[in-house]
Amino acid sequence: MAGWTGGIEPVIMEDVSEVVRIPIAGGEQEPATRQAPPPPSDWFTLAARAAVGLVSMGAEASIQIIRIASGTAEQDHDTATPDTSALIVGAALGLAIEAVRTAATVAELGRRTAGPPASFLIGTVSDAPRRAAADLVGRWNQSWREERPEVEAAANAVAVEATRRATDLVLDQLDLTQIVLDHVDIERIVASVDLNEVVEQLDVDAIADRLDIERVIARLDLAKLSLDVIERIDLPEIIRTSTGTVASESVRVVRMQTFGADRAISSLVNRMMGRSTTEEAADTDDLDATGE
Amino acid sequence: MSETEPPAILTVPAEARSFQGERAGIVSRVLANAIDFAILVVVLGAGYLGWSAWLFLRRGASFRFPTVTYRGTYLVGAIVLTLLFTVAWSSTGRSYGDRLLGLRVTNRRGERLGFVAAFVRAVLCVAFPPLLFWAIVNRRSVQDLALRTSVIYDWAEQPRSVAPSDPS
Repeated sequence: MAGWTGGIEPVIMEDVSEVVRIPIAGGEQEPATRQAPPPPSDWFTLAARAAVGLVSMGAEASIQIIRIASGTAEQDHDTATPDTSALIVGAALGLAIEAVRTAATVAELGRRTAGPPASFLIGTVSDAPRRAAADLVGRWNQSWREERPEVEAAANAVAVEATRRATDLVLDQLDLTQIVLDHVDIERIVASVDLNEVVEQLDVDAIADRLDIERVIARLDLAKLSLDVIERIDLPEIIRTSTGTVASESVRVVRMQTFGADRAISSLVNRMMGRSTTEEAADTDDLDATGE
Repeated sequence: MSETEPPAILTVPAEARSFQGERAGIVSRVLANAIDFAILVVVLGAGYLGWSAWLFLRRGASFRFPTVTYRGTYLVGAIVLTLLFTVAWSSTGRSYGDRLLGLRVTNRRGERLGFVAAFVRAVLCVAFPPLLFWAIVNRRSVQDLALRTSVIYDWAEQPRSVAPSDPS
């Protein structure tokens, strides 16, 4: 039990183990005869032990809860100095076990003393009713055996339905998502998943078949994309170099040479006038509307 | 670029894209005008030959090549050149010389000249050719300053796109 510090545990458990070890009803039942059905006093003793055990467990749980509620659970409980509540409970349980043992001994002594005469008298007087009762019990047993499958099936159905409803009732009271978020390390779980293996198991072709390619293409700016491609590969230059003539090449050379001459003269004039190229550019206000 | 207009593809060589739209220098403009002048000479010669052929068909054996005076040649040449410039600048924005040199004449908004503006500019250019050399100073001739026009580098076949605003 979580949080149980062992303060009173030895007291209770020693008593219970002692009950188990001490033979009941005078020790006539040896281990070699355990195969035979136990006498009625053993059933009584066993039931008494179970009852005491349940009471002991309940007492332990109660004491534990009280300790947690009172904030004394973390205190150091030395086995040599058990607290008062544990001592009282242990003593009460030990007294109960002693009482059960005494009662069982007395009952066994009475059964041995008055058993044979009483059995003869009861057997003589009650033989006919006992046979009738045996017949009635046999018929009931036979009826039970015949109807057992249906009864068990019905019981299973009821149990399943009851379990389902109980589960639903419990789950309705819980926010499982919030519980998972609060208590589950999802990142750790995801980290443990081999996504590559998952991806390899995907049927990409099937996914591609489900795609609406037309809609994807419709979202693209094909004109801009085409221009980018044309600019990237410089398609006009490819056409020009593949279909160009001597005349067009000559024109191109003449244009570039005249442009170079223009620039040289402009530089010369600017130097002569002490003007920088930025001043010349500032003089081109009217031309800004032409772009570039 | 609006969605209704077809996308523009640059057909200008990569090495010339950096200066497209800049004002042209004096060398390009003089060379373009020289080509236009050569074309004018060819046109005038063809006209003279055509006129002579027409006279030959009319006069027969008494045919003599017509005498051409300097004043008459200058006057006819000026008229023809003015017409050539007017039609060229108001239609495509450039004469044949401009086309060969990759130049285009635009107004202050970078647009093609209207017919009247093209005609006035053509008259000024034909009447006062030396004023072109003011372009040595700031790449604009006196005619350009007067009419607020420009001659720009534009190697593309189609006119350049025009910016909507005019900072001047």
